[in-house]
Amino acid sequence: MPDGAATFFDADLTALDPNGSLFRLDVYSPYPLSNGELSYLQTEFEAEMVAYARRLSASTRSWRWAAAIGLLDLIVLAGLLLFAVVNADRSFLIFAWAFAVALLPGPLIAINLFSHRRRTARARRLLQASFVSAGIGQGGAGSSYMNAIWEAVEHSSRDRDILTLERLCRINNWAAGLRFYRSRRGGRSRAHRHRRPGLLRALLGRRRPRYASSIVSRGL
Amino acid sequence: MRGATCLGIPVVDGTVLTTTYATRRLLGATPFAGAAVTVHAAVAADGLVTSDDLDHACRLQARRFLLQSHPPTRTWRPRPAGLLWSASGMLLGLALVIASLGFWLPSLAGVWLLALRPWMLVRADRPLPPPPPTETPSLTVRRVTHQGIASLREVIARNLEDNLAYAEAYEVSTRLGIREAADLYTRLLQDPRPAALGPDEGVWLPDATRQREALTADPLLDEEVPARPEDDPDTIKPEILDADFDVPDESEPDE
Repeated sequence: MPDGAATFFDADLTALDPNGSLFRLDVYSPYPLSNGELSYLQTEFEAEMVAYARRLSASTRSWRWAAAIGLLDLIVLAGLLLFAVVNADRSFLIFAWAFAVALLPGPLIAINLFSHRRRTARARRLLQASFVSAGIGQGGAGSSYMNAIWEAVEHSSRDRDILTLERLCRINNWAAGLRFYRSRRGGRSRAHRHRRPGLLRALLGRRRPRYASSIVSRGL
Repeated sequence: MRGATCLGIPVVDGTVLTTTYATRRLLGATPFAGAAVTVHAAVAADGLVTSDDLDHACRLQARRFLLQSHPPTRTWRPRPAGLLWSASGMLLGLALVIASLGFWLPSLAGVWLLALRPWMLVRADRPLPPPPPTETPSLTVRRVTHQGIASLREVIARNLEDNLAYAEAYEVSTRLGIREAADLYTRLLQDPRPAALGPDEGVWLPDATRQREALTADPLLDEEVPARPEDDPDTIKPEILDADFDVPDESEPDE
């Protein structure tokens, strides 16, 4: 950061799945961290994860009920349209739009809930997920990204503005760092955005990634 | 297993043990019964807080926020569009029943829209039950060292004046990104009595060494009290003894 340092989390909450095993938080830092600092970071992440899972599992309803309603709505709509077409009295056809308005949302809601059933099941599993103690990340891509950007920052004589740091991440192909600096440049953390997913995205079952909010400290 | 963190934030003559904001959120979202919680007590590695005190204070704080936990609230509220959809369906159902003219299909559709579908929507609106707890409830406290807290301890120790110490510690805690410490020092700058903190703000633990010093350093028990010079009659100045006091004679009548 231009005026200090920040810790951000790279794990996408919507993709986390304990699958019966324990989570471990690997922390990559240019400086050695004590156990207290590691547990502080782990609690921050765990709190966000549980809040996300709890919110999602509390706001979602059983897709089976929605599927039953949607299916019956569809059958009734088909029956009414068929009746209006084959009946000698065609006055029923005038109300075809009303049939569609009243009976089409049911199947659409059912498709939406059905496409999100895996996400909901994952969120319910997250509520029971446990962590082992957080540890220092050793080696791997995370370590190399971290070392590359800190070396560049420490050897750079220019000001450390967000755009420069973002460019450094782009040069190093560090997607998580790029995303973080973009969110800081946008003036607010993307992790806090509560945008309702678009209808098409919801119908196709695409998920919007969610990240835990970052911790910012100032003046190194 | 949930991992909570308590911070032993150094103050003048002691430590204030407070839970991190993330811990409050985490324990607030954890059911009181059925949760296995490990509390990491992050303190400076100077041993000024005894393990028993730390354990007790951590348990107090964790239970406090666990008791404040609440069941998941119903966030699925009927939206205006949903209500409009449901109401329009019922209206159409009523119209279909009336205008079916003896045809069984429109009347059946009318009954579905008017009565059966609203009943199913009410049933579907019930939230899914929370997953059953799989752990035995427990509360474990583990002591860990925190470098940032150690830095704050140094700041507090090297400043003699309370307000100066808290002001510098506030600056350091902001720099280190420890929001809980920064907020605590802000509070102490307004009222430098850690014992007056609210229960949500933390538990004040006086330093164990200072407590012992206070108990053993009673001058009446251990040390000979030096005699004060004014108590010795030989040191009393003679001019004070020879002083004359003018006492007005009250028997004389006023002129």
